[in-house]
Amino acid sequence: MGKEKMNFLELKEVTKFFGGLGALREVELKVSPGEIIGLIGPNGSGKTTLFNVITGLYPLTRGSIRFKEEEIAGLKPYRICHKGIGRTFQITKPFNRLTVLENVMVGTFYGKEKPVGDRNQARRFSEEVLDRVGLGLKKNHRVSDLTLEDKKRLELGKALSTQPELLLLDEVMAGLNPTEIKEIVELLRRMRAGGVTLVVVEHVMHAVMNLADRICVLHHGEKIADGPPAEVSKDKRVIESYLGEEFLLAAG
Amino acid sequence: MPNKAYAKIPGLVALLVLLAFLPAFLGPYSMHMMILVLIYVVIATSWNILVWTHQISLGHAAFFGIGAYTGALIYNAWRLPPYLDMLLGGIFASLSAVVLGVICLRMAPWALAIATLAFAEAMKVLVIMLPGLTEGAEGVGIPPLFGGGEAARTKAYYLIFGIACLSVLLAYTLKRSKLYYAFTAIHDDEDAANMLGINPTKYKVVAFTLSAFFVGIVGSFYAHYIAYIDPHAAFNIHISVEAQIMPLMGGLYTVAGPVVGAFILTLLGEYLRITIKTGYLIVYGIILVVVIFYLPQGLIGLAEKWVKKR
Repeated sequence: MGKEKMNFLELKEVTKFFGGLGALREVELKVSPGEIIGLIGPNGSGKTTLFNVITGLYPLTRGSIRFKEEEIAGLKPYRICHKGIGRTFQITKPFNRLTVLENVMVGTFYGKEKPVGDRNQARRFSEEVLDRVGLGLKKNHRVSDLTLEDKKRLELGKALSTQPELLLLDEVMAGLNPTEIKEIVELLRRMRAGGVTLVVVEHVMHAVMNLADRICVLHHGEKIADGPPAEVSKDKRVIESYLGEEFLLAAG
Repeated sequence: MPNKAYAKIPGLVALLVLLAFLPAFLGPYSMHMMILVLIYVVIATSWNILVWTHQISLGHAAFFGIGAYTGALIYNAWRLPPYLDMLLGGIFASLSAVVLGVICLRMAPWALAIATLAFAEAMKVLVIMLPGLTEGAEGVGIPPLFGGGEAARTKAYYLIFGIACLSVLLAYTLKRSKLYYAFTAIHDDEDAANMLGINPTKYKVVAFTLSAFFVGIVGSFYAHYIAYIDPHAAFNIHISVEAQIMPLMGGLYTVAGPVVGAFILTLLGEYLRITIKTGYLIVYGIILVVVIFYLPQGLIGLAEKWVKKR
């Protein structure tokens, strides 16, 4: 089987109920290595829930999640991390008692079953990661002193420190200004060039439409569209449920 | 950072030398007080390790009591060397911590706190209800450590001094180890820690086990030193309470905080007990409330602020 054909991440009939509430219904998704997938949809449509079931934070009600041809549904988050899936959190979750560098060292120490060499090697690796996400000069800062953009960069750095092959990014651009968004988009492109596959939840439409190879749209926990950005942005159901007429007009 | 660490060394050496020569200057009563201080240094230091993972125990008396009873009962049965007996006290306390941990560590911190409190009380009741094994509420007498008398007290002092140094050294080493990263990550955000490859349950059990170990050792030491142990002394809730107040007073999360807290609160409590005939606990309580209210970082935090200002 060629590498392009390999099912890197494959979701089948992924269903999640909270009591009687269906947060995800029979979601199907295939991701190939090196792709950037944009995952969009209105608030409450199940995007973050989808991340939470893929990473094992929530148990699945029904369905299957295969990563590199291996079933990972039912595994605990730390096991899924060891398999090579990283994520960021929409509301950043820094370790406040640690410095920026120490935050990233956590993932370097524990992110792989066989961790990165000794302490000095781990430190060097973590510093490289911080350079990559643009926090190299702030490595000794306290997390509470960081701006929102830097906190988002730190989330990326922590996720990268575990050396993931697949990265799930939950609204890393929310709350940032246009310049910052541009910087983050560049950073994500570089990460993809470095061999990381990305699934990006995002509300900043022009950024995600530019960045993604493919867009998936969730609505009330169901996938209503999946395709190239140009196609999806003209889909009638997507416009009705999420994008709105204005987007169509603005996009021309 | 390294400069700051080196700056502490002269003070540390002076303190250790002072403690090492103390028996030459102190009478029996003061020696007894110092032994109690050092016992509490171990208990407070051990309790503080657990806080690094955001777990609160209200039941460290359980580990003290388990150490004391395993120490006393095994010694009476087999007359093992006291050192070995104390080690066994630590091991049994750790084993009970593993069992307790596996059952309770998925609980929220407050639920865990109540569970540990209940565990300590349950252990006390269990010991009272099993007189065939434990001699029940009457307690167990054992031959005094090092044959008794004043020379034995000095030896006991050096022994507990050594144990206290080891427990502080363990905390110090842990704080500089890879484990501390896992503990702190779990403390600050368990989900985020989990996503970075840390198994929270595993590391919480590790913290619990380490935290119980030295408390079990001093429990056994105490039984040998006093030469008698009963359920109310062994599983005294006072121990559980002091175990958390001392780090709080000295400075949570730090290595020095619990040590400072143990010294000050043990000696302060005794001083107030002697000087104020009635109601000394009220004064003790007021001092605690004032310190905790106005110094959330503890005395270590106050000292650091003071050093920075100069």
